[in-house]
Amino acid sequence: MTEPIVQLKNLSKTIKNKKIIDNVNLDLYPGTITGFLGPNGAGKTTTIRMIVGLMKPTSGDIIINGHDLNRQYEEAISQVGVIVENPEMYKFLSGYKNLEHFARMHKNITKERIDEVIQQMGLENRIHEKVSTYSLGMRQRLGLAQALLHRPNFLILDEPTNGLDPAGIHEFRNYLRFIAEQEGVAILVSSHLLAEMELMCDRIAVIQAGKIIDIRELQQQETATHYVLEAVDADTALHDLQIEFTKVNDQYILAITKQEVPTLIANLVAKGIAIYSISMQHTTLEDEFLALTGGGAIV
Amino acid sequence: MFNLMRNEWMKIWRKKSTWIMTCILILSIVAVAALSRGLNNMPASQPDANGVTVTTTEKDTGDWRERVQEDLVALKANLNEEPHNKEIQDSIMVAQYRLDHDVAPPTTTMTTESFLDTNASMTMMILLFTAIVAGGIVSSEFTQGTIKMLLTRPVSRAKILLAKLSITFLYSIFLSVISFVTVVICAYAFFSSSDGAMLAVVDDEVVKTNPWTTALLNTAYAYISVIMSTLLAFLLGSVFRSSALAIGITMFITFIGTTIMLFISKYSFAKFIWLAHLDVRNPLVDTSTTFSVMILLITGAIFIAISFFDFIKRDVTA
Ligand SMILES: Nc1ncnc2c1ncn2[C@@H]1O[C@H](COP(=O)(O)OP(=O)(O)O)[C@@H](O)[C@H]1O
Ligand SMILES: [Mg+2]
Repeated sequence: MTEPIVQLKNLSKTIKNKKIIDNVNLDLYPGTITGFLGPNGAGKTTTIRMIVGLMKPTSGDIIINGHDLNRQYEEAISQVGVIVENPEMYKFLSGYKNLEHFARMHKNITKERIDEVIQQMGLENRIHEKVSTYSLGMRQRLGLAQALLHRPNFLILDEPTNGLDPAGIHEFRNYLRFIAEQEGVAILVSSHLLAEMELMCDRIAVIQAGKIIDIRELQQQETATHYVLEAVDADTALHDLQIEFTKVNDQYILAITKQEVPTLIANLVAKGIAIYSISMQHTTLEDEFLALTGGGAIV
Repeated sequence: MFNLMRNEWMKIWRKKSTWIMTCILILSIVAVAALSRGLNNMPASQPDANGVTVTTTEKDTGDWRERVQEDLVALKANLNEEPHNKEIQDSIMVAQYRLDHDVAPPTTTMTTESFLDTNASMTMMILLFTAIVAGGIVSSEFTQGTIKMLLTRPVSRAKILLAKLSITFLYSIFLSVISFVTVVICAYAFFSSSDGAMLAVVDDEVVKTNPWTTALLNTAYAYISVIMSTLLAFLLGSVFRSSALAIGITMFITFIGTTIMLFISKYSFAKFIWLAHLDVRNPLVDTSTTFSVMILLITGAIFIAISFFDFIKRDVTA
């Protein structure tokens, strides 16, 4: 992989004699979406607060774009966009005034850039209304808009899908993918939801009780998904359709893409095969995750 | 820095309370003017410009020379009881000067000139309103949760706090200007000018005083309290992160301060407390003006230093 944009080195945080973050090491790369996965209270928010300088690490270093956050704060943070927990905006100001307010704290953000971000986030219609009238979803979009204003090359989002509806989450995922791939932004997204992370991320760092217990790459979901078909005597039919499969008990594990699923069902039905169920297989990672984090803790 | 200040200025003016406070200040001055105007038409007993209570039953009619002569006799009688009272001595000098040089005293009713001095008493209200802004300008960012949006920008925490402190003072200067302008307008709108002249004793010489200079000077001295209370409210607001607590404690200390000082003035440490020196021309403890100014400066610097130290060092978990 290329050079990391962000490096966390032996990061630890102790509050009141309690080690909340314990020796965290993590590199983040341009164009890569890294999931930061862990149950509630694992230390995701605390780590993020340290990365953006809201909290000081007890020990360890944070290097962003080659600058040590502790010694060259302004340089290090200048290319970082962040939402920590819920984006809290000035409720008595309009969305536009909020963006103007934050834009003034950066160098060289033009009116055109503000308008561009507003448009990208689909906020045009209500941008001049007070934030107090916004729904949670709109506040999330506004939050994302303020994080992107200065074209950061490192974006941190802490549980960003809270309050978004399924369509919103889908759109959000595509947008993250877009800025990662098109603009080479390094993205760190925290979540306690494994399924969400799998859909969104290229790699996942799992944190549990303040320690990083696993960092792994995810294969591209859209191309290499397996489907589990529950049907009776489908062997011949699948052979005829030239689909590879492995049979486990009464289940057929198929290497097909999402787009092929409807055709397959239609063909099998045409051949008179009784289909009881067909589902996407992503049990392995979840099982491992549950095992790693001791189960139960995942909501 | 200019951009940061612009942001803070915008935020305080987007809050209703800021407008309400400004309006209350203006309305209070107008109300005081209207009431004084009403009192002018009634027989009243009020101290004249030289601190002598003169009872006017008939409205400044008759010859002023007779009245001054009467005062002079009364003052001399007082002086026999308290031979070393500087105030009485000065009043005698002034009264004698009036008779010798034929300088009429200002009328005892409110005039354009005397109303100008109302401005100094308005600083108490400016103090309250500035303390409200000072106590809230940092703590509100914490209670709103916006502090994390503010502190994750390429701007040092020190600059952000400095912008907030500057804007707090700019707001109090703004209120002072509003207050003075309103007072001047009311002074001319509600009252007529006095024929008499105000006199004062400076270095054993009787001199005419300019009502404008006197009003502004009194305001400037009263403003010292505004500065100290603002710094205190700002400190408490940023340390406790609660504006109610900051404003409450500041107001308590400001209004009870004099009483507290009177209780503890017998202890030697009392002279090191800034509350004793808020009126530098007449401190509550026996010291020199230089010492008073020193204590005020040092206390102010300590308040600022603690605010900045705390704001820069503390972890933000809001
Ligand atoms: N200011 C604090 N003081 C004491 N404990 C804290 C503080 N902030 C967080 N914690 C503790 O640190 C742990 C991690 O919290 P957090 O980072 O918010 O977890 P996550 O974001 O993964 O849910 C929790 O157990 C929490 O109770
Ligand atoms: Mg969290």
